[in-house]
Amino acid sequence: MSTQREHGYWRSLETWAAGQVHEGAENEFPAGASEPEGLDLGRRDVLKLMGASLALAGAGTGCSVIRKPAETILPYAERPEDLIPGRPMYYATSACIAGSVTGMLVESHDGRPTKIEGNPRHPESNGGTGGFTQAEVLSLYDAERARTPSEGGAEKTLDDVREALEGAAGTLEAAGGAGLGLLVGHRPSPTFQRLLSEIRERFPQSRVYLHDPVHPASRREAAKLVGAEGMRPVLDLSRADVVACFDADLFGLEPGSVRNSRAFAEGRRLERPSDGMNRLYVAEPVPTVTGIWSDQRLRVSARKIQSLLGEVVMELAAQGARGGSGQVEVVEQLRAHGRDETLRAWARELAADLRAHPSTSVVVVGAGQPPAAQALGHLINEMIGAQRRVLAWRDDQVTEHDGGLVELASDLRDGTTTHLVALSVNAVHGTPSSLDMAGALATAEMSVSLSHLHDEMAEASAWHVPVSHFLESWGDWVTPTGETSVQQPLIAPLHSSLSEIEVLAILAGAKGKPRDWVQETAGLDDDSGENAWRKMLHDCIGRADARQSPRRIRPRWNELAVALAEPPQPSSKLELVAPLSSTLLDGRYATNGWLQELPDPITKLTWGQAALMSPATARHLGVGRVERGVQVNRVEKGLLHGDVVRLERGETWVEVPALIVPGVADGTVCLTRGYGRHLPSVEMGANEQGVDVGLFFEAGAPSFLVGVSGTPTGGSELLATTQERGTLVEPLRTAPSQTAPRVRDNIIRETELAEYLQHPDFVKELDVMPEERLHSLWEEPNPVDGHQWGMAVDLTTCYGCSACVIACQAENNIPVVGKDQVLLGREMHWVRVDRYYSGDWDDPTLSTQPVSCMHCENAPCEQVCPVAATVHSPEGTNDMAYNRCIGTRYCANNCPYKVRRFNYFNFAGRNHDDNELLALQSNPDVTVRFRGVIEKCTYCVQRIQAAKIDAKVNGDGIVADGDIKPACGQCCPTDSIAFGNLNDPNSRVSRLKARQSNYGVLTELNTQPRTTYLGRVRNPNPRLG
Amino acid sequence: MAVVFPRWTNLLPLIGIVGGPVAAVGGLAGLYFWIHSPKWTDVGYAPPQPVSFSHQLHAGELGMDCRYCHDTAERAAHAAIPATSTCMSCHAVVKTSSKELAPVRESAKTGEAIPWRRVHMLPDYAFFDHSVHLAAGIGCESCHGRVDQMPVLYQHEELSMKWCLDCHRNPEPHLRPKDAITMMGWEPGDYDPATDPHRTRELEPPEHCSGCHR
Repeated sequence: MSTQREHGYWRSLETWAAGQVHEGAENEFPAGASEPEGLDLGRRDVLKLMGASLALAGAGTGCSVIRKPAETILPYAERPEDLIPGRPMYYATSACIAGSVTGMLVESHDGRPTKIEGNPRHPESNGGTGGFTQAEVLSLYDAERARTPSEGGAEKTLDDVREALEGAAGTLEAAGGAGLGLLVGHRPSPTFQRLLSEIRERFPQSRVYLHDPVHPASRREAAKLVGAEGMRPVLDLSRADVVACFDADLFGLEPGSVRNSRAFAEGRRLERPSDGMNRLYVAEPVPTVTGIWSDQRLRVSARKIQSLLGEVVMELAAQGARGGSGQVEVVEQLRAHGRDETLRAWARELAADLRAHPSTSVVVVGAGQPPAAQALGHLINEMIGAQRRVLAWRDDQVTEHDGGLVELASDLRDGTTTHLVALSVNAVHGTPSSLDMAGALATAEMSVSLSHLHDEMAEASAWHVPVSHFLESWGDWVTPTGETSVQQPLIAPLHSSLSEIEVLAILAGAKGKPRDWVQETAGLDDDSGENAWRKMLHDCIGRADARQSPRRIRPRWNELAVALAEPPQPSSKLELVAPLSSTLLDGRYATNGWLQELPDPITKLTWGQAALMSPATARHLGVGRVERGVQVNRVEKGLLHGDVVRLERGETWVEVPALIVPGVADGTVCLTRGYGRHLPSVEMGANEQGVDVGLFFEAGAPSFLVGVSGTPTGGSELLATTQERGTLVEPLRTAPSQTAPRVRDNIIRETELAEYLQHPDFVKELDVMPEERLHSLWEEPNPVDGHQWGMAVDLTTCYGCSACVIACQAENNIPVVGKDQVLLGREMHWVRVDRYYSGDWDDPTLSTQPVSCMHCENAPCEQVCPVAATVHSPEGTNDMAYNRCIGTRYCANNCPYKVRRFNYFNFAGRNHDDNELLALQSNPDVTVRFRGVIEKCTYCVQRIQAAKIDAKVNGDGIVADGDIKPACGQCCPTDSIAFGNLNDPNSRVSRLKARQSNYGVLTELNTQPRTTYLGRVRNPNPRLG
Repeated sequence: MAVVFPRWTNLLPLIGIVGGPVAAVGGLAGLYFWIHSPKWTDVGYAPPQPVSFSHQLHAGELGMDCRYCHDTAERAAHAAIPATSTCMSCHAVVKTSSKELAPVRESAKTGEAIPWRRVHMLPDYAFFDHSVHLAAGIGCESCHGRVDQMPVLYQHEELSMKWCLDCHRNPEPHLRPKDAITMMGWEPGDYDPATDPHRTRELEPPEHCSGCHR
C-alpha cells in the first residue's frame, strides 16, 4: 500500500519527468487532430467547405430516389441440411499458430468464417486464444495474399505447378532423389510427418532442412547437451508454486503461452484470501508481458542471464540441492569464472524460495539464450525436483532433418541440393546477411516457395505457390501433451493455392484427397472408424499420441561442464537484443492490419519498430532530451519524435528511431524481429517499416549479441504510440514533489499479498469519496428488474496480452485507421489496455489494466447527448444508436474514462475499398459505422440479444450464467473477464463483485460503473524488498 | 353609414401576407415529409419478381402453411426464402411444362439461385428476428397482411420505427394462440392472452435502442 502512495503511477517517462501530464496527454486529441487530413486549413476554410458540402448534400437528397435501393435475395437451389440462412454455425478446428498448436471454434456466417474463438475442450486453448489466433481470420482475407502461382513473375495455374513438381520428382527419382531438398518449419502434424517419410522412402537421397524462428535450434541443442536429445520439458503450471523465467516470455511469445497462462492463473485466483498464491520471478533485459505479471522482476542484460543462472546453481548447491552426476563439475566450472556480486543476493533468495517449494517450482530459460544457459535451467529444475510434478520431459516433435539454413546454403552452393521446395519458410528475410540466402537460392536448378505472400523468399525462388490458409485446408496436429486434433476447412480456397500437405503429397506421389490422408493417418479410414472420425471432427480432439507420453529422464551434466569452460566475454559496448515482435512475430503478420495497429503491450507502439533503450543508455548515446535529470523522449505537440540512431557492428548497420523505455536493462538496445520487409507486391505500409535485425545475427546464434555501437544521426521519426491515450489522471495543481508526479493514483489499485491478507478490502482505502456523500442532481434511472448486465475484471490474472483488443475488433467490425490516424489519436479500438509504471524511473514496476466502456449507471455521456443517441437500456447497458448520432462528440468529451471513439472518416468504407474480401469477414450482426459517428464497447450487445432471444424462444426468457461471453471475455487466456447478470447472486460476475477487493474506477464522480475491477495482488519475495 | 366590414377585417391583409407563405411552406413541408414517409414510399411496394409466384394461389386457394416454404421463421432471425428444391418438391410433378416455371426448373438444373426481389426491407442498422416474434404469438398477418389474398406480394405495413414501437408498447391486440400464428384472417373472438395456458412467461418487448439496433 505504502508503495502505491509514495510513488504514484505514470504512463511514460515524459509524464514522470514533467511531474504532470504533458500536453499531448492532457488534451484528448493531439493538436490538429480534428483538422482534415493532409490539408493545412484554418477554421474559416473548414466552415466554407462545410457550407458547400451541406448545399451539395441538400441537392443530393432532393433528387434521390424515393424508394429504397432494390435488393435481391438469392436462396440456395438446394439448401444444405441443418443450414439456416443467417444463423452462424461453429466448427471445431485446430492449427499451429505462432508456433503453438491451438484448438478453436470458428464462427461461420453462411459459409464465411468471421470469428475465431477458443475451444474449451482443447487442452491448448481451454476456451482462450492468443492475439495471433484472433487475427488469423483477417489473414485469410488478406488483400496482399498471393492469389496465383507464378514462375519468374509469369502467372501459372495449379496444374502447371503439379506438372512441374511431378516432372522434377520423376527426374530425381532415378538418382534416388539426390538433389532434392525440402525446407520445412516446426510441424507437429502426423500427416505432414507421414507424407514426409513417404518422400524419404521414395527419394532416399533427398535432404530435409529445418528452420523455424519460433522454435530455434538452441532448444534442441540444450536438450542434447544434458543427454535428453529429442525431448523437451513441457510444463504443468497449475501445480507450480514458484515459477522463475530467465529471458523467457513464457506467457507472451513462448509456444504454449495460452495453456501455460491459464494454468498459472489458476494458482492466483484468490477466491478466498486464505487460498494462497503462486509466485513469479522474472529476470529479463527488456520488459515483456511476463514481466508485467511478475511478482519479482529483475532488470538484467541478456548476456548476464547465464551468470545469473550460474549464481542460482551455486546457491542451490551450497544449500545442499543435488541434481545428478556431473553437477559437481558444473559448479566447479562456474566457481572458476568468479561470482557476480550484483546478482548474488537475488539469486540467493530465488534459490532459497525454489528450495522451499521442492517439486512445485520450476525455472524457464528463453530460447534466445545460448544452449549452455538453457542447460543450466535444466540443471536447476533437476536440483529442485521440478520433474516430479511441474515438468515432464516429452518428445520434442521435431521433424527429422539433415540440417538448418547453414547446411542449406552450403548444399545449394556446392550443388548437393539442386531442387528446393520450401514449405511456408522464409529463408531470406530475417536471416543472416552472411548466408546470402537469395544468392544461394539463385544457384538452384529449381526452387519452389510455398508462402502466404509473394515475399522475399518468393522473389528469390523460381516458382511461387500461394499457400492455403488453415481455414481452407485439411490437416492434423499433436499438442505437446499428446492430444491429436484435426484441422478442418471451413471454406474452399479463395485463391489458387495449395496446402503444405498437398505439396508433400505431390512429391510423395500420394493419390486421393487431403481429407482422406488425414483420416488415414488417424487410422479411421475404414467403416468401423466412421463414428470415431465424426466425433473427432466435432470435438477436434482425437485419441492421444503415445509418443508424447512423459518420460522420466536422468540428465547428465558432464557435457554442460565442458560447454561452460569458456568464460563469458565482458564488453563495454552495447548489447543488441532481438526478440520476436509481439505483434508481427517474425514478420509473417506484416500485412495484417489488426496486428500492425495493435499497440505493443509494453511500448504501446503501433505501425512500426523502434530501438528500445533505458534512459541511462539514451543519455550515454545522446538520444532524447533531459528533463528533471532524466533522459526522456522528445514530445512536441503531443507527437513522439524518436531520434534516429545508427546501430553498427562490423560491416552491418541499421538506422532506426530510438524509444526510451524504462525497465530496459542499461547497456541493452532492443530491436524486434519481423520488420524491414521487402514485399514487392505490397504497395504501402509493411514495406517501408523498420529494419531487419536478423542481418546482425549468425545462424543458430542466441538472440542477443554484444559489441554494438550506436550514434544518433541527428534525424528523427514520428512514432505512433498510444501510451498517453485516455490518461485518467488529474492535471497538476500543486508543485511537483521530487519523486512523485501528481496524478490521480486510484485508477489502478494494487497491493502485496501480506498486506492483502491483513486488509482484503485494501481497495476501499483508495476511495476518494465515501458512498454516502455521492448524490445525484436528478433522479437516476438505476434499473433493477430482470437481467442487469455487468462485468468484472480480475487484475491479478490480467497480464496485458492484448488478445481481447483483437477479439473485439474481429467481433465488432472495428476498422483499421493507419499510422497517420493513430498519430492523430484516432485509433478505433474499443478496448485499450493501459500500461502503467510505478516506482523508480529507471527500474519501475509494470502494471496493466484493460479499459473499455464502463456502462455507467449514471452515465456522463448520456446526459450531454443532444439527440439521445446514447441512452440507457433497462438492463443497465449504455446503448449507442448509431443512426441517431450526429457527431457532436459531446459524449466523448464528457466521458471520464475516454473510451468513446469517433469515426473522423469513413474508416470502415476505406478498409473495404482497400480490400474487397474484407466484407466476407464482417460480422453481419453488428452495424458497420459510417463517418461522423461515435462508437464504443457495447458489452457485445449482439451476443446479449442472441442469448436473450434464444432464452425467450426455447426457455423461460432467463439467460443462464455463462451463456453470454463478450468477445474479450471469451478469448481471455486467463479467464480474467467475467460477464453476466448482476441480479443473479450466483453468477460468476456477482461472485467476483462480492469480493472485498472489488472496486470501480472514478466512482468519486458518481458514475456508478457496471464494469469493476478486482484490485491486483502481487506476491513478491519479502526478503528481496 | 353602416360599417360594412367589421374592424377585424383590417387584419386580413396581414394574415394573408404572413399566413399565406407560412401555410404554403407548411403545406410543402408536409407534402415533402409525406412523400418521404414509408406510408407513401413503401406501403404497397410490389416489385416484379423473376417468377410470378402467387401467394394467393399457394397460401390462399391451396391452403399451404407459411412454414412449408418459410421454414426457418420459428428458428432464426430470417424467414428464409425457400430453396429451389422446395419448389421442385411439388413442381417436379405439378405443371412440369409451365412456361412460368421455366426459371425454377432452370435453377434446379444449374444450381444457380433465383434472384427474388426483396419486398420487406429494413435498414441495415435494424435487426429484426422472426423467431422471437413467433414465439411471442405474433401472427404473420400482423406485419405481412393478408398474404393469402395477394396474387403479387406487396408490402402491407409501413415497417417504420414508430410502427414497430406502437406494437412493442401495446402488443396485446396482436397476440394470438400458438396454433393461429400462420392463420390468415384469424379473429380474436374471446381469446385472452392472459389466460392462455401456453404462455408461460411475461412478454417483455424491448423498447430500448439495443433491442433492435446493435
